[in-house]
Order: sequence, then structure tokens, then C-alpha cells
Amino acid sequence: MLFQTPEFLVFFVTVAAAVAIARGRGRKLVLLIASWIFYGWWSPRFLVPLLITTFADYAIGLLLDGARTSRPQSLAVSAGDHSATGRDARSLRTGRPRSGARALVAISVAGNLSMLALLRIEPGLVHMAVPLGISFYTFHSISYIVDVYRGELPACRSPLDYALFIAFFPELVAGPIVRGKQFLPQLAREVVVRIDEFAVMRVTRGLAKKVLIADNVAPFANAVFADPAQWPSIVIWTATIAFAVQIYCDFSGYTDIAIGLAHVFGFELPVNFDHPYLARDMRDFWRRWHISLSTWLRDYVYIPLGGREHRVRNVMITMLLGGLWHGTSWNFVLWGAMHGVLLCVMPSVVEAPGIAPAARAGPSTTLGMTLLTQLCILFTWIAFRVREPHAMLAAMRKFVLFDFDFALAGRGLLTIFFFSTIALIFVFAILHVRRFDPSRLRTPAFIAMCIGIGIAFFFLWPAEQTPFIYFQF
Amino acid sequence: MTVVRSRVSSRTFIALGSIVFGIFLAWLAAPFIFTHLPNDRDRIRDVVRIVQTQPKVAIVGNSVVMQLGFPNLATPGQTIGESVMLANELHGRVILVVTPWQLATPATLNAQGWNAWWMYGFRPSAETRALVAMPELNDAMERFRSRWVVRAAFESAFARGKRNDEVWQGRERFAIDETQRKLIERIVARRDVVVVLAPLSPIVRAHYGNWNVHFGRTIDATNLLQPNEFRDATHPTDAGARKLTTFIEEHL
Repeated sequence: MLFQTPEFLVFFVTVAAAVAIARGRGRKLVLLIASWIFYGWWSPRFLVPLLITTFADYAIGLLLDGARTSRPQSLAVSAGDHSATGRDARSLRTGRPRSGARALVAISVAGNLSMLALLRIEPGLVHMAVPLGISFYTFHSISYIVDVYRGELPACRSPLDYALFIAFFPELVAGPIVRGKQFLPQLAREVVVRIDEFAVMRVTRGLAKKVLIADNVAPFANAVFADPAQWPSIVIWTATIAFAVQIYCDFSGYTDIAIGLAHVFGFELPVNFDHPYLARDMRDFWRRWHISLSTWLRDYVYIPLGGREHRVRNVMITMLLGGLWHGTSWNFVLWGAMHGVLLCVMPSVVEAPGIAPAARAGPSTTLGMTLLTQLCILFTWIAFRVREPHAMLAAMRKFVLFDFDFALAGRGLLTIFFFSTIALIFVFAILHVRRFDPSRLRTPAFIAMCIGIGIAFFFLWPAEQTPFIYFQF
Repeated sequence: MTVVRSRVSSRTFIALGSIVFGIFLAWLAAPFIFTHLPNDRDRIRDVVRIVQTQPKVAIVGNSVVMQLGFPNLATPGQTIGESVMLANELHGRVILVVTPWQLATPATLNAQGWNAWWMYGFRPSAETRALVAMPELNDAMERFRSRWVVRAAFESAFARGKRNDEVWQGRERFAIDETQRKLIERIVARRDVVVVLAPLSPIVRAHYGNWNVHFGRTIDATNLLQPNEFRDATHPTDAGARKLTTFIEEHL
């Protein structure tokens, strides 16, 4: 069930109505059942690993809590009370885990990762396709267990709350990766059904990114990357930029919709993107791109490995894992490795002793670094997009060694929407650079914009709905 | 957890209402926009107008015969199905020009193709619809489907006036598709139809070899034009088109 389909609209309105009618814990129960229906809609078998993760980690969380040697009385949290205040969190950390706790964490992490790897590498063994979004909920679960082990989060006592944390449908299949620390305390708060400007505009923005931009530039990128060897460099460059726009609008569009839908039910999901194509270096890029994954990797992989101590090694391991998170395909490993290398090398360039601190902050340096960073990011997107090795190499070669072949007539570009793709890229670039925020508009301009969006939806909504790219991860 | 609040702000209503209004506005304007934007199928507009005049003789076919001097109902990439559809709506004599790639391809018109005919105002009879297996269409839905024209117009705007260097590539050896054969046989049985085998350039002839087919009254113009009477691999020059027009007139 895709967000941009009529069936999802019917589903969502039904769920919102049911939540509004329900009372007390019944509201959470409605949301949980709805989330399972939403996920099982693709294939009921997908629910099996989801339920295994949910109930195994729920139990391990409770065991971990019990395994603490000196669990303070103040933390005997009742069902539904997960609001770990700063004081609670500090006192939680005073409790030391018994030796068995480490084994429990190992069992949980190993179990989750094994299931992820098994279903990714050989889904046929368990007679099912790779469950959608399995990387997302697996990471939800692992972060919860580690946080409980570290004493940063009390174990969730309510199976209903925990199951809803793992399965909450707006963010179940493509994130953002929500941590227990962020979500579980919200379950103790008042639940509201509110359809306000924030929710409507966030969902609209997400839909616009997905169906107006991502889905309309995708046919061109798909056609070119199907056989990159036949196209000149100018087309490869355009297709690479088109894919960069597509993947950003597709993924951040999903996140916007997820944030808006969650807001309707009173939940706040973390921001996942912050204008990544304005990043001035690779570290900046990862502070702006898929923030929930980059911070997850930082907190649960990079820092435990030692952080800045053995920085190069730790960055490379972290980014390789980040690549693998997207799939057990060598192109994702390469993509992660390239980002790791760039993360290691770029700071040395920026902080080179020959460059004066004042010059580093100057506008020309900033512009130069931004362009260089974006160039590198574009290049890495080729590895992400093209899985077939020969095609990938052909595309990379044409990207780097520009062939100055501008004879575009007779190549069938019109049939793959070359010109309208360029127009959409320009529209995206203007909105991205200007950081367009509709909430700042006065009412007449706001109305005109909404009417314009309606007209654009009518004319540019593709006839065939395509799944979000990150559903496969 | 126990307190329930439901809130819908006025600006939310404004946002939702304006978006819905925008969609409705676009839906209302769709026929006007469709008929005024350039696209690869906009010749259908002229064809529909000519069909309504019920000419005594008319020619149907693809872009190969678009320059011929008869009341001309040819459109770019016209399928046999479309030619038969037009022929069945006419009461006079119809010259049906066929090319080997039309006959060899089991092509039926896609949803976008049917939509173009509908949006340009073509409303075939129930008999014609049944003959060519035209799907059931209704105005509300076809207005919605017509949105493809916006992107097509954008690409067409860039293509207009530019030289088309596309190289002809035959993809199949000649073997007549049964669906196309039946379509032609049915229209030949119903209407006054003269089938013309289109003139082929040497490159196309070499690819398809002998495509000797016969449907009722058939005129074979395969070898009519010299190589210099083609402006590319498939389309005749103006002089070639005049020669073909005269040739057909002499045989009628």
C-alpha cells in the first residue's frame, strides 16, 4: 500500500476515524492493528520477522532491565510511563549490568543482524521476498536494546507500546530510524487526532516531492542507466543529476509524509534531511542526509569503535556498514567505501596548513568546497544506482572523462523526457537553494500556491505509481 | 493518554480546499489545454475535422502518406486499428495505405492513443468501437488521463523545427500479424476500401524482402519511387508524394 495511492487514502481516513472514536489504550491498539495491516498488505509473511523482532526484543529488554544490579526504585516504570527525565537517565546509568546483560545484548544484536542478512541474502530459504523496510525496524530494535543496556532508557513494560514503537505504520517501511528514546516517551503523552496546517503541508510537500519531481525525473534516469555506454557524457551527467534529485525527493518525500502522518496522531518523528545538496563538505553532507541513519551509525558503531581514536579505520568500518545497510550488493559496499574515503580525505583538504583560517570561511572557498563536495556526491550516486559492474564503469568513465559529444539529435532523447527532466531539475534546484518554506507565506500567496500544487498534481501525477526507492532497504 | 482532541485549523481548510480546487480547475480546463498544446498526436485534431466533412475519397495511413494530395487522414505512427477505425466512420471510398512494419507488428493502440482520439473530439459509433476493440471511455476519466499531454508538449516544443536524424531500424522480418490481417479483411468487407502497399526505399525493401500481401482491391506501390524520391529511409519527398498521389489516382 503506497502512500500516494487512493487505497492508502481510504486506509488512512479509516484509521484516523477509528482512532478518534476509540478511547484510552484502545487508540494505541487501533494504531498497532492498522500498522500490522498496512505492513501485511504487501505480504502477510512479512509480518513473521516483524513479530519475531518485536516480541524477542521486548522480552530481552525486560530481562536486561532485571539484569541491572542496582535498579533505582524511581525507575519502576509503570506500563506506558517511559518518560525518562534527565534525572532518571542519570540514575539509570548508576545501575551496572550483570555479566548476563552483555550476552542478552549480543543475542539480540546477532539475532537481528542474522535475520536481516538471511532475508537479504537468501530470502528463498524462508519462502518470501525480502521484507520491505526490514533494515529500518531492525535498527529501531537494536538501538532500543543497546539503549536499555546502556541505562539510557528504561525497558518498555507494555507489549502494546513496544509493538507500536516497532511497527508504527508511517515510518515502518522507510524510516526515519526512530529510537526508543525518541518514540516511547511519546506514548505516555496525550494522543490527539489533529489535522492541522503542519500535517497537511508536510504530507503535501512529501507527495509533491515524490510524484511531481522524483517520479517524473525517474524515467529519464532509468532509461539512461539501463545502458550508460550508449550515451554521451552530457547525458550521463544529466542522468546522474536527475538520479540525485530523484533519490532525494523520493526519500525525503517519504520522510515528510511519514512526519506529517505521525503528527496527525500526535507523534513527532525526527527530521531526516536538511538540504543535503547545500553541504560544503562530506561531514556536513552526512549531517544533512538521512540524519537518522548517520546519527545511528555514529552512536552505535563509530563511537563504540573508539571514535576519533583510529579515526580512519573507524570511519571506514562505519561507512562500509552504512553501505551494507542498503543491501548485500557490492555496489552498496563500494558506495559506502567511497563515502568513507571522502570523509577521511576531505577534512585534510579543508584543514590543510597552507589555507589561512580566514580564507577557509570566505565565500569563494565555501562555494568551491560546496561544488567539490556535490561533485563527489554525484559521482558516488553512480555506484549507488548502477549495479551491473560494466555499466557502472562505463557511466563513471563518461562522467569523469567528459567526451564533449553534444550531438544529441536522433538519439531518442525526446521519448525519455530529456527536456522536461532538465526543467524539473531547475525547479528543484531553485526550491532547494532558496529553502522554500510555505508556512511563511501570507494567506493570498498561500492559497495561490496550494491551487498551483493542485494543478501540478493533476497534470504531473504519473499514471503508474512507483514504490519509494528506500522500500527495498 | 486519555484526553482526546480533534482539531482542524482554518488554514488547514484553506490548504486542502485550495489544492482540491486546483485539481478541479485543471480537470475543467483539461480539454482546452489538451487541444491547444502541441504534441506528437496533434494532427488528430485536423483528422477529426476532416472525418466530420465526410469526404468522397480519403486516405488513411501513417506518416509515410501524410503529404499525399487526397483529403488526408494519415497521422504519425497510425496503427492499422486506427486506420480501420477511421475507414469505418467514412461513407465514401477509403484508400488504406499499409506498410510492412504496420502489418508485422501486433500493435494495438495504448490508453494514451485512445485518449488522444477522445480528447480531440472523436466519438466513433458502437459498431466501430467493437470493430477495433476500443475500450469504454468516458469524458470525466479521459480528461483526467489527458494530463500526459503537458509533458509531451514540453518535449515537442523543443523538437519542433529541429532536423530529425533518427535512423530507421527494422526490428522484425516480415510476417503478417493475424490481428492486423483480420482487421483489414473486416473493413474491406464492410466499406469501399482500396488497399495500397506503400512505396519502400531500398534499405527497407532489403530488410523486409518480399511482403507480397493481397486484400480485396490492392494496389502495389512498393517499387514506385526511386531512392532519390525518399527524404529518409521511409518518407517520400514532396516530389515522391506527388508521384504516389498521381499513381493512386490513375489506379482508382
